[in-house]
Amino acid sequence: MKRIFTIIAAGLLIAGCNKFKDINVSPTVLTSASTKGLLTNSQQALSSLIFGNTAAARIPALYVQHLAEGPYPGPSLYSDRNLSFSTWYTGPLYDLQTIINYNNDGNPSAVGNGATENQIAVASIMKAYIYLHLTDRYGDIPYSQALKGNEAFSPAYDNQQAIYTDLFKELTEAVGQIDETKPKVAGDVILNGDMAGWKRFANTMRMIMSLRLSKADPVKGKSEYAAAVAAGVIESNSQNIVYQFIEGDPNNYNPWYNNYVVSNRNDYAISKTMTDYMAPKNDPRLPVYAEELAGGEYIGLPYGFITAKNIPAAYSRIGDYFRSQGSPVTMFSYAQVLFMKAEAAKLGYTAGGDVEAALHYYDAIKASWEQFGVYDAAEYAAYIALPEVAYDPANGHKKIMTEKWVHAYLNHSWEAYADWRRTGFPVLSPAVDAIDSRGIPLRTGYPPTESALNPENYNSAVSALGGTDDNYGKMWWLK
Amino acid sequence: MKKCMYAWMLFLLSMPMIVFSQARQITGTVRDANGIPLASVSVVEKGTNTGTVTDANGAFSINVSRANATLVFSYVGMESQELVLGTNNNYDVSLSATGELSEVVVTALGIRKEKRELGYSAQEISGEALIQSKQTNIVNALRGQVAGVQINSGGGAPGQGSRIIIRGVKSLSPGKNNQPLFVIDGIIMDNSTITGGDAQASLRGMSNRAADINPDDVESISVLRGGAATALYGQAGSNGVVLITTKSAKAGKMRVSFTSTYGIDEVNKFPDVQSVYTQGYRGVYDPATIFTNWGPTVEEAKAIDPTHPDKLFHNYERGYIQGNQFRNSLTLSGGTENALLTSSFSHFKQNGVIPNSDYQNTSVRVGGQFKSGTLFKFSPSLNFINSGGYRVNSERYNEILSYWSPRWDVMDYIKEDGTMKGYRDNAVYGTYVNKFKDNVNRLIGSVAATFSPFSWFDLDYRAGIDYYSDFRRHAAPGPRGLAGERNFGDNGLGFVNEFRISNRILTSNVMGSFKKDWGEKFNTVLRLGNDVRAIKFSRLTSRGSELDIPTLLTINNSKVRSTDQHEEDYRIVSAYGDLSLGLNNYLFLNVTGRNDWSSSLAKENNSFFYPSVSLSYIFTDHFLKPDWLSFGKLRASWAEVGKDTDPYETNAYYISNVLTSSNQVTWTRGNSRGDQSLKPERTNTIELGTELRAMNNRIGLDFTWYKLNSRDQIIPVFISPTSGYTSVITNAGEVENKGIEIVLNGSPIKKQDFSWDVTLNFSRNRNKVISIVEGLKEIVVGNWFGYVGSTATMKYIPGYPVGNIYGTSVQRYYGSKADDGMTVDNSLPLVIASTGSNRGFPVRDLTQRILGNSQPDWTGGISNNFTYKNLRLSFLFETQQGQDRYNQLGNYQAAFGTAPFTIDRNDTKVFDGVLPDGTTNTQEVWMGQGVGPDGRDYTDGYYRNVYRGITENFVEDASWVRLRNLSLSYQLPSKFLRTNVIKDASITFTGNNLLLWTDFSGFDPDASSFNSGSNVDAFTGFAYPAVRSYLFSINLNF
Repeated sequence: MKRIFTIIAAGLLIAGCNKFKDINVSPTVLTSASTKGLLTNSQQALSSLIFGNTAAARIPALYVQHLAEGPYPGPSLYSDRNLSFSTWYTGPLYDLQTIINYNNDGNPSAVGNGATENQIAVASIMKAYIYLHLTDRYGDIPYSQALKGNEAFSPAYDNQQAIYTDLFKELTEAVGQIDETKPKVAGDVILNGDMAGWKRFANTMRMIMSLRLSKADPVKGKSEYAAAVAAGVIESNSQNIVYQFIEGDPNNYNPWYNNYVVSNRNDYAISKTMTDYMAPKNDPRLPVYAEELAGGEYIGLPYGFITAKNIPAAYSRIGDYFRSQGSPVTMFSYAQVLFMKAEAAKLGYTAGGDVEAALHYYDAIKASWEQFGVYDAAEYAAYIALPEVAYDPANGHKKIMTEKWVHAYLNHSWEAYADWRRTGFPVLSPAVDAIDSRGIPLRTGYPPTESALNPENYNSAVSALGGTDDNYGKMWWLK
Repeated sequence: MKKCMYAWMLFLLSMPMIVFSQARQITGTVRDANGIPLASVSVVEKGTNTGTVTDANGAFSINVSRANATLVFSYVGMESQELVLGTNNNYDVSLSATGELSEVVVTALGIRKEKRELGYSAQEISGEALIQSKQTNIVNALRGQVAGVQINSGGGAPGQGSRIIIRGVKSLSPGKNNQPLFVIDGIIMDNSTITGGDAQASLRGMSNRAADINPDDVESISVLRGGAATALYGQAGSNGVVLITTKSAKAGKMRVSFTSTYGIDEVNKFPDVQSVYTQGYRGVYDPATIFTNWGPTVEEAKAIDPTHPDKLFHNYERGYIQGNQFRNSLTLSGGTENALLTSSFSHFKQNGVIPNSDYQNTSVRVGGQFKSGTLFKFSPSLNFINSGGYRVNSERYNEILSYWSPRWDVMDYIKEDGTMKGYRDNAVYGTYVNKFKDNVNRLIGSVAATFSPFSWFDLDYRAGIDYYSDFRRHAAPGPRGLAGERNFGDNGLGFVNEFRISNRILTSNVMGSFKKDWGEKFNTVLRLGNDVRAIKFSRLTSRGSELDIPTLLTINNSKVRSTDQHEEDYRIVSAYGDLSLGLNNYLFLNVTGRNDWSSSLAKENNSFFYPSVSLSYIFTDHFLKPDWLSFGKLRASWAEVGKDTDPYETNAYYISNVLTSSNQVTWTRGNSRGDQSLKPERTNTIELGTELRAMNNRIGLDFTWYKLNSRDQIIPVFISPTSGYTSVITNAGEVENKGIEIVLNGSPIKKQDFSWDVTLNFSRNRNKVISIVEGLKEIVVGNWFGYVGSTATMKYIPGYPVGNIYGTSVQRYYGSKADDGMTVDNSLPLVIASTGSNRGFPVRDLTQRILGNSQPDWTGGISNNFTYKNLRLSFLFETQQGQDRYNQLGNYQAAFGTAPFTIDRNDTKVFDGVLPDGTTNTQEVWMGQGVGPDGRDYTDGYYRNVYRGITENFVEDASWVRLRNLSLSYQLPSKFLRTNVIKDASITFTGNNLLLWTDFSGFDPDASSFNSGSNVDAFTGFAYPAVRSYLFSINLNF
């Protein structure tokens, strides 16, 4: 009897035990993922994080008054004080880091998705793009110790200057690493593996960063600028770097389409600040930027009032160009590059002074019109002859930055916000009903969780800011 | 399996045809030593298969075939008695207890033990006591009846899940299960409340799966609370065990029992509202604004708008209707000594108090017991259940109801063309078009076999399956494009979401028992066994939105589709032993050991051992026996039990994300990092207790003291997301629970025709978070929204009890007194602002401070049972004292000017308190909106600018006392029955939740905003309100 019992018990034990190891691996997820899938995911994340799928991503368009809020004024009155950066780090940044790690470690998940050098280069450029965005919003952020998983639970905050220095280095190395003769990267939904395009992506970014240093470190800015342009930036509208949303694919609708149509919201309209600038000048971009109302009118919504206003039929929503299912987002544009060249000349980064600046300035406006498909030689000539537009050395910087701001509508709102903080142009009046009398915020406050989860490093970052983690601390390049 | 069921059914159908000879009818009554009638005593004619059982009055009636027949009366815990029949046809029989009040209770793994030998507390509730309250959820039927057990029904939704916690929360991880293991007839049964895959499900009062069980099938429930009691279950029993024993047949003639119950339900408590001020903003009437009650008075509004009603509608009352419920259940049982069969059928339907919410449950059960002499016993059992219904999102319902101005009737919600009527989203219309339904098909089957080849050895084997599929569907139409159509906001462009869930638990348990008596004085029982359990869970979610044809609710009709697959596999294998030593029948020692091998931990850590020791000493049988004491026992036990982790927590994973149209699958790394070195959590339990009975057993006391320390908590620790992970899972932290449990019972009156029994139970559990992970200050368990920073949060913080509620408060004036930054010192004056736009009003303190605690200081219940002849009255009072809840409804009522206290809006007052410099506040302020009589612009006014933003204002004392249940039943005298077909009949009136005493301002605070599977119990307000029920039932026995 005992023997039978023992046999049964032993049998059951064995049956139960030997497959334990497999049981505890989830059958519906992976322990290591293809770098192709990780790259696509990182790129698609930009849609929600930068291009406007979340309220946080719409902030710069409000701060620079491209848009105004209707029924529920909030962010336009500067109500957002501290915002999370969690999904940036745990999502695209970590995935991009994983692509780099897999390639460096020879992980099979990287095989077949492009040459190792090209994969590492693209992941590094994308990573730099996101870090640049983050440091421009927050200032000092975890960088060198971040994304190390179990090795560092509480990463230190690097100062912005060090981050910029390293980003320049990373981008330069990435461009050097790209080998167009080797297999292109797979899973790239931005440039479809166009490795020359990724070089221009990186160099244009360096150009942007170099101008960001115009106050904090113009010497470095100047040399980086020269190097970036020499390495090859965007030189025509056909080289614009465009994120494609897809008509007929609900998972890849343009965020503004989702907001206006799918979610049936009418929270945003073009701001009166924009229409007041554009309408009197007969700017042909206005019908592209804004919805035409009854009577052929384009009415901007006054910016910065706490009183709720209903938008439909009363104020122009954003134009169909920007909010159809497949409306693209232009991440970097030729006009943007030309405006930067104009500014570089004006600031003395390059030779030629105002003459050179004016030349690039006019070309930039032309490129912008061409980009939006509204270029007409006669209208253009009339436009640039307007006294408010025509270049004059005394107001050169202001005019370059103001027209750049017009061009930047929605596509480059984050850039326009950084430009405004650095140069003070265009001249904007803060929200009338601003929550904080200090006006337009200069930065985003750190996520509240950091003070609890990473207190020591958080505290030292805050003391570097001057002791207060609010929206008005000045980051390094602003000083 | 199907074939098997057909066979049972055939057998059942043939039963009424078995004809018994009717030679002579013997009747009589069976009573215990105190003259109390005994129900369910088996009465069998010796040497035949003829038998019956006594009814509720102890009466029996049996037809015997032989003239000199002998009747055998047997009853658990009583000495069997044989009665040789004489010429009389009527007999009164008295049974005496075996030994001295021997009571057999079901303990771990179904082992039946005499209660006297247990070294830990055990409380068994009879089926009779359970069905008395006619509760639809078996968990609710335990309410107020068991010490050490805290039960909170999530609310009054049809089929709503109930939460049960035994001796406090033991796992600090916010997502971890703290509810006991449910075992039905030895088979582990799932009692989860599934809400995964859809955020909506957690707000829709989904059933805990034990609610599937038909309460009429239950013979008794044993609640195993302490570590020593549950140690044999290993980690599965670490939260305690609820053992359900179903009814089995008794030998004899076929018995048929039919019960039919009809009941009505209504909300037992409504929030108060003010009825003076109507819709508008800053005193200006506006019949379309979201501001439901910040307008002028009704009279002023009527002057502007003649269509304004004379009186405001109380839409909280109007939005709730009368619910009803209907249950029919039929039980058939009978058989011979060697072949017994029982079967039951029950159907239950309930319509809820929120329109368009309902639940139904159909259960079919067959169980049998077959014997081959004493050598072999075989008991198969099968229970099929179909349950589910339309579940309403009560949180959303009450929220939308709060946005609906009482200027409008919320019940006027639909146009002739079927579209929504009204000036904004209507809550009632929402339940009509936005529907969520679950449909569960469940099979619980088991086979138990006992082989007894020798008098000293038994071999038991039990195998079982608990399988269910749960098909859920959440669908709503899109806008139809009609002129003037108003689309219900939550419906979007229409959607259909389907969730296909299945869960399977397989159990196999083999146990050998060796018994040996070493002479008169010393006896031993050794049990050795092996236990295997395998769980497989899967969930497939398909979502479709943007419907092409707006009213065609199929995924095929949707433009946007997505699918998600989730699977879990878990297995645990165990070996165990249990050694019982008895000395002189007054000293008992029990030692158990169990080793588990779990699949959810890494190989190096997946084996763990749990020991337990318990001692029972009946001192009154040894030497000390004062006259007044009839029975005295001391008990002590120690145990260590463990708890493993959920599957897949030892790794980090990549999950697939949104697809692109180019068919590129995207992957991203999950945010939580697993740990290969995870160990099981461990709980040490010490339990001491005594059982005393006096006055010839008419008064009994059971006292227990316990202390539980749960160490090595498996917790997801939140880390800076800049590391790339938001959390890592690790072993850290300790929580302590200690408490006392007292059960007092007495029989103050015990007479032939009249008896009164009373049971009182009292429990107090104190818990404290000893430590959490080093470097971490707190674990956030959950939070619930409140306006402008008044969100309430439930957190675990070392040094403080589990269940603390944190939030903003009114600033107190500390002066030179130290502020600990954590508590609110109510003895200090309030700080009133001296400058700024809120000058003259209390200052908000944004520090998160402790505002209350959701765990009761103590709980208790008193049940009374009166029997007078054929009448029986029982009632149960239940209380939970010293607990707080955050009232979200109160927060909304303050924000919208609905709350009764906002009626002072045209008053001017001076707030009691001091200015920030410590001087007394004298600033007069106006309580309304806009420009006050003093010319100052108060903008949105005190209630919106200040009051609603202070969590403290909405954390309320949620203690309550309630008349949980009252039941009056009448047994029809047999002379009225006039027939031999019906043996007995009774009618019963039952009232549940009849009276409630509480200071809480909203709905009944017993309802929770979180689902019954959640550890978050601190929030209520918009939950499905509790109901008061009146039930009438009739019971017939054939």
